[in-house]
Amino acid sequence: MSAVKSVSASSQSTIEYALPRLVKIFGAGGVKNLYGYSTGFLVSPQGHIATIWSPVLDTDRLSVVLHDGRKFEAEVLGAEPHLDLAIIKLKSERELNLPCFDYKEKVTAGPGTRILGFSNMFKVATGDEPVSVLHGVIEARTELPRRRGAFELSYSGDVYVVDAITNNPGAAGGALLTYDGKLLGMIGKQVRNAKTNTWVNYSLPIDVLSKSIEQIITGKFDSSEDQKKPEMDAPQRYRPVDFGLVMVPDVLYRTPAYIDRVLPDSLVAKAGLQPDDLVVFVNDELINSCKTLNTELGQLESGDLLRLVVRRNNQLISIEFQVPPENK
Amino acid sequence: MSNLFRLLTLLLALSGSVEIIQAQAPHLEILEERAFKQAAAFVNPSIVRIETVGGQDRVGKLITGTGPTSGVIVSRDGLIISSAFNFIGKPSSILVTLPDGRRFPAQNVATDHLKMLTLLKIDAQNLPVPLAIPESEIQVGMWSIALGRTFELDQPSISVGIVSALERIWGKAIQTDAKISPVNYGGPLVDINGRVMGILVPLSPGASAETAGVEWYDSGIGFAIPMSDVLKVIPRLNTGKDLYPGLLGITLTGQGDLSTDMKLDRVRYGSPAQEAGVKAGDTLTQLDGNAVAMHSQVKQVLMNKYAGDAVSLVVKREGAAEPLSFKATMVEKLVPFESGFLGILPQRTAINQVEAGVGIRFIFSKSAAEEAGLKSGDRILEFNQQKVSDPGALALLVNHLRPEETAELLISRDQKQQTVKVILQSPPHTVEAELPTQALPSRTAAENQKDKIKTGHLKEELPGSESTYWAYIPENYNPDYEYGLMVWIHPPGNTMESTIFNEWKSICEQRGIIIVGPAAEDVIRWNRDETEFVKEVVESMRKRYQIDNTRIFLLSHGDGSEFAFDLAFKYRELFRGVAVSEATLNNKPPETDPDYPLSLYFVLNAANPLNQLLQPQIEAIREMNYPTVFELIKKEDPAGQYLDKTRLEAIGRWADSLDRI
Repeated sequence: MSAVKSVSASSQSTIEYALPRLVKIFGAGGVKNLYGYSTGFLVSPQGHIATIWSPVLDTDRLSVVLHDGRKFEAEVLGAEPHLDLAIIKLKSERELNLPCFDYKEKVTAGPGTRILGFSNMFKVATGDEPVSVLHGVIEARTELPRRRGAFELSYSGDVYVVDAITNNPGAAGGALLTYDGKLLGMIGKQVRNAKTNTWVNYSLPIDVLSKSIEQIITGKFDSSEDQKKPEMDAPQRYRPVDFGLVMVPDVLYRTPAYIDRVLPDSLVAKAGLQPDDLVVFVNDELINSCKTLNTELGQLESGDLLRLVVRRNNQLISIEFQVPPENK
Repeated sequence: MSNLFRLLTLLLALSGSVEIIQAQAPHLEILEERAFKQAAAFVNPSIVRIETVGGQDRVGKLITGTGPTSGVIVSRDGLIISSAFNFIGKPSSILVTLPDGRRFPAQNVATDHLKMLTLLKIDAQNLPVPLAIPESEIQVGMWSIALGRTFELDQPSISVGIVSALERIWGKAIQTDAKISPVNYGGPLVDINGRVMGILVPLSPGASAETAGVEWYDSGIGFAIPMSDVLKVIPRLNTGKDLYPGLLGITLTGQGDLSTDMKLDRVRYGSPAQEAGVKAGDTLTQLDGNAVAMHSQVKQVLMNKYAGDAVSLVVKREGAAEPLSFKATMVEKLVPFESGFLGILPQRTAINQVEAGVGIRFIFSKSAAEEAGLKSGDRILEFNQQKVSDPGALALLVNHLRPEETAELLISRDQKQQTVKVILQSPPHTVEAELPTQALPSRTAAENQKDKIKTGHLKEELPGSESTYWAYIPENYNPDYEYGLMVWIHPPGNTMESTIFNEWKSICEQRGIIIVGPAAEDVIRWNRDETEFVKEVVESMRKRYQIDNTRIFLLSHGDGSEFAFDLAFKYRELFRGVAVSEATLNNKPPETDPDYPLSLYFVLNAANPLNQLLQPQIEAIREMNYPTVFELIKKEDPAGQYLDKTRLEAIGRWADSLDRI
């Protein structure tokens, strides 16, 4: 018997299909803001569960409760911290044959798509109670702008932002499904959107997670962590003055990037930039302060095409030139 | 649709099985989902992304976002409407990106501070203006889709909900349960066909600050300003002038939005309502032709109007047979009224003495009266061609004029009449360094005893009341003259009766002031509802002794001051002054009113940490045009000691000049 059921046609049949595939996870935590519980979903009939990589898993006494109340001990099989993903496996003497999701089908969906969010948020489901279901639509599929410093989150990449309040305590590791029953993603942690400073409800897309889930289950996993370059400070290869720009003194939290002076015969002088021009874009990145200008210029490499857009009076003026070799 | 129907009937006829049909027809949910996406795609070309450069990182407690926000095209030639919230950081530069990727610098044309919208202008042509749904078609329960352009440039963000209510926040907004947040503020709320219902903004029913309502983001309570209202206001905004909520200047008697007490408690002096002829005590019955019987109905009309908008009122007035109609034009700001000040103290005359005009007892230094050459002993007979028979009549005329206004006085000096022109000034924030007392013909205690007038230090209670009070009536009290009344409000925990009595006795005798000291029922604290008791004590003193209504004032120390200010602001017709030591102002003063002048006096030890708090308060209340004396004691007084002689005498001079004109 196949573990994967054919696609359902309505939200009700999808809910009926999904609930037996969601599990409640209990582990370490219970102090302060660390919740000792989270959510997971079955990805193999043998009891492999995809869930969020979190301190909840950091224990020898990890337990998992199925929708019907059956309780298992579980062990962490592997994790991909860069995706906030962990795979745990139920311990069982007998061969298990559990219903599960098809994670290999790399389903994607766009804004406006109706979704159902399944999770053990706030631990409201106990014993043989299935997890809670929320509904909404996808607001956007976008790169998550996290508020730096507020939360440690290693994942950076596309997420689904949804208009249902899915990201609650204990909800991380839950499943996001389309109304017609396709697995779209895994509900993420609680984070704030750095650009709007508001809480954001997001899920990690299944097409991003799929490969790592398979690799961990099959034991062929090679964490990208090892290959990843050590974290470095942002590079500081170029400064505005390297192109002939002298900016106004950076005195405010967000000093607008106004040009104070243009060095004679410099690259920008030849391109026609003038004092009092406001730099607004560097290679399509919005420059909202002198600090972001420094960051963007610092990352350039010799030979890159540098496109600067400045605002002069009420006009936008665009210039381009090649980045010269670094001045050592 | 009819094709589908035909197919269904055919299938039914052929197989007789319902299951097959369900498998063939897309589920309603999927059709709806398709409609959401089509609605978003339909309006998509008209939603722009707005980015800002520079500006404050914080507005109040709110950290402003740095991310992009949204706006909606409202004219082919580059007008874009957005939420005012998106510009609260006062950015130095605004950039607009169209869905096709073209970027433009934008001008902030004007902001609507009532509906919290900002109009931008970019230099572009042939822009797609979205279709608006006629307002009459919008109904509660309809699908409403909130769109923004903050996440991705190529596709708008989508949140789906229904219309939860119409005419919310005093008639201003459509309410929706779609998730509204900085992600889509400034974006459109559209119906299932992609027609714009309104522009998404944060709003709050109780507050009107520029960040009000943001705390409700993503809560299922979101608001949009109806598109028909937006389009109506765009020509006004396009003139470049900001629009503000309109103010009328009336306060109703009852409390709370559900109150049905429609009597006007106050009509602010100099406000549009007062200038239109509306008076305190009138009962409001209609606004703009609609009957109003509840406070919320009044808000519904008035809180949806701009400064410059007209409003018509109908009131019932006691004594008027017919209801009266008025028309007023609302204003942006109600300017606190400042009464003019002539700079004299009137002679205190015996009650039964009848003499033409008002005699001058004292001229304030550097006052309008001094500049005009008035002298003590002069008599003012006429003020602006109106005969003045007593100080009250003169004060009424002067108080209703403003500083800088000129007046013509007819005075008599040495039996000769002459006219004097004066330019009124503002009442001073200082006390005269010297103020000679006005000697009254005194009586002896024995004479008073014979007339059964109690004098001296008394302890009494009101009939039928548990609470007690003490009083001191100078032994030389003369019932032919009016006296000032000092109402001592003791600090919690200590009546300070003997201190006050001993320290103030001689000053009060010299300056003709009676002391009364009501005691809190529980000396530990003043209860708010004890204001009534204090008022009754004052009323009873007024009945038994000759009290000058213009010289009734409150005196307090430390934590008793809060209750003293409560009293002063509640019974404005009763009290003319409040003097407090070692205290700040914890209560917000009402606006000034020329009919109820109120003077304030603060004494504070410079070493008192309250100093930091008080200084800006003094500035604020002087800004409200309350004459406010502020004396900072520089020397190190031993802690806990009451004021010294010099300070008490200064307060005495201030109390003795509360009847100034």
